[in-house]
Amino acid sequence: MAGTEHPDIKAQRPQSTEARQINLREFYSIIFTHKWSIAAIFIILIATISWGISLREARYIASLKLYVNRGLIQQVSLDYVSRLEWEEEINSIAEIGRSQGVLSLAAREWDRQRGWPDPPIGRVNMIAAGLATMVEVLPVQETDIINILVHEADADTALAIAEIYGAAFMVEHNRVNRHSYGRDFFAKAIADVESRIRNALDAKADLQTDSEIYNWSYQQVAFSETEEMLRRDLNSKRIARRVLENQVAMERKVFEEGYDFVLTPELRDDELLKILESQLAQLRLELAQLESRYTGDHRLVRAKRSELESAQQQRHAHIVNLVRIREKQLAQSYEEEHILEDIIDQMNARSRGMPDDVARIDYYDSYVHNQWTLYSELLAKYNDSLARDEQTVVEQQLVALGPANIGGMEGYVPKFVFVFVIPLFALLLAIAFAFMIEATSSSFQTVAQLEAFSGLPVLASFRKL
Amino acid sequence: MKHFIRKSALGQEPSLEHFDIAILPELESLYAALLPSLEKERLFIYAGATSRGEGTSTVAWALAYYVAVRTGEDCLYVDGNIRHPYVRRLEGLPECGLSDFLQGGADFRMLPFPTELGRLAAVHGGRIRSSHVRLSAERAGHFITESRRYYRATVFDSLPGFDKYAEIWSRHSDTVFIVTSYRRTKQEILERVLNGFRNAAIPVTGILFNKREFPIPDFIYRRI
Repeated sequence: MAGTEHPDIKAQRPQSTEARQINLREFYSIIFTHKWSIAAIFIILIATISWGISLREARYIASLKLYVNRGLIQQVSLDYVSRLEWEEEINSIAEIGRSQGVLSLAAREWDRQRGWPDPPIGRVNMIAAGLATMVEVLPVQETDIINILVHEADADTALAIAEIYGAAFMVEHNRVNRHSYGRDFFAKAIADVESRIRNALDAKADLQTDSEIYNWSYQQVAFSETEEMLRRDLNSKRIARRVLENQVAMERKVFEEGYDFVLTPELRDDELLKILESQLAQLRLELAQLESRYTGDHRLVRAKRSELESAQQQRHAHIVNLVRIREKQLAQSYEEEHILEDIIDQMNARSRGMPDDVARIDYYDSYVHNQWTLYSELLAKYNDSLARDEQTVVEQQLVALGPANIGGMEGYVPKFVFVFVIPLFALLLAIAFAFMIEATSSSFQTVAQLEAFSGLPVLASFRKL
Repeated sequence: MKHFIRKSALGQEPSLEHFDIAILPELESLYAALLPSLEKERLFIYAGATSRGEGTSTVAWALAYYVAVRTGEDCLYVDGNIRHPYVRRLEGLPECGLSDFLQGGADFRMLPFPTELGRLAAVHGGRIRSSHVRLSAERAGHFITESRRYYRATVFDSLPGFDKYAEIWSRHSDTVFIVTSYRRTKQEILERVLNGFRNAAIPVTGILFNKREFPIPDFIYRRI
């Protein structure tokens, strides 16, 4: 170096201060100039990234692949399955896999395998909620494969959950398919018809052996007993109505003919009438006393007599009112009797309308015949649904493609990432930072820059010693 | 004296070997630029800077000693930075310095003192605080006249920046250098200083680029 110009002096003289592409020497110059900044940033980044990664929990991902066997339907009816059809079909199946039914089934199975065969619903829902956060059901694009992914910190647990969930998925899928094609409905309807036929045949047999356990006998007995009870009620009402009629007739005489002595017990028990009677007796006594002392024309006698008449009129008006009330009760009794008579007539008619044994047996035969016809129709439909169900099972069958396996880990950073990727990333970022510092610097780094800026010659360039 | 001149030069006859070999080419080119003027007259060289820490004093020392070596005549270094003088330890040095002269209480011949470098004398900044110095163009002119009278070349190590003090000294100087440094001098600062000289109609001879670094190691540099 002695006595000669350092080659960097000319090499680092740019043609202008405008933005331009840097060459390799300038690149290295920036790197070495900011080497300590780069080293510091590199160390800080490595430490920060390592700390961040250490916070992540490593979780295994267990994978179970289910194959949707759609070969038959494609061979028979579909030459081409469009992407939209594929998405609709596969996504609908995957949606079943995400349903609460699958979650609950898997939760129950999980507890059952752990020795709790019948957990309460709260426990099942809690486990199902936990499974919902751990399990993903994802269709693999452009294929007929549905992938069940289980995220769990323990690999064995992840595998077990994947197996349980896959089995629950297949069970729920078959159940939904059966329900969709109506097989359950027809099976229940057939069972109902069988039950009705069995009951009708039993009833017919009972009737033929004079058994009284059939419901019609009970119905007949019930009709007759009800009629008798109603007739007893009617008779009671009629007796009561007659008594009331007599009372009303007697009471009517009180104010029509003035027979005070025919007061019925009901009238005598009336409190207001008692008071009025007492007042009347008192007035009569006072009038008798006055008449014994004075003449009939005396003003006191006349006043007392007038007062007595007024009291008698008041009593008479009250008795008339009470009799009117009795008459209304009497009219109501008549109406009730008529109603009861009508009901008794109806019950009598229904009792008379009950079929005889021959008609009943005919009815049973007809009923059983109709039920058998219905049974055969239902059976035909059930068989159709069974055929469709079998076809569905063939067409839409979910097949597990092997046992669950560990497909990978999340949160786990491989060694080569630690050794190679992260340091490289940190180094590049640190270099980028150095370039940013360089780009924003307004200091002079070359003689050319200095000359171009100042317009003056640089007479000497002393290097730092 | 640090950096550029080796300690082995102390007390020895002036020689080019006393300089660090890395700066000799630059000093030679600088001397070559001064040579036409130097052959005509005795030079008073003004060395200014944009800001403190640019290495103006080091460059000025080296330049003064180099001229002394090359011409074989006495040269003078003047510590003109009376606010922050380069020569701080004044024990054993003359009582009077530049500030004493500017204040008017000292004769020029009392100022210079011999240094340990051959043919190089120096004037320290003085003992009077800079705020008490009343600078006049006459005293500065007188100082320059006297220095030309006794020395082949005088290098005036001035205050950084541009102000009245710098204007007076640079106006009476034969050559004006501005020292800038690598990755330290900002464009805005240099522009402000140069505008000061331009506005005062003082021509700046050139710029000295100091503290230049070559960050790429040689063994790598040769391969790229």
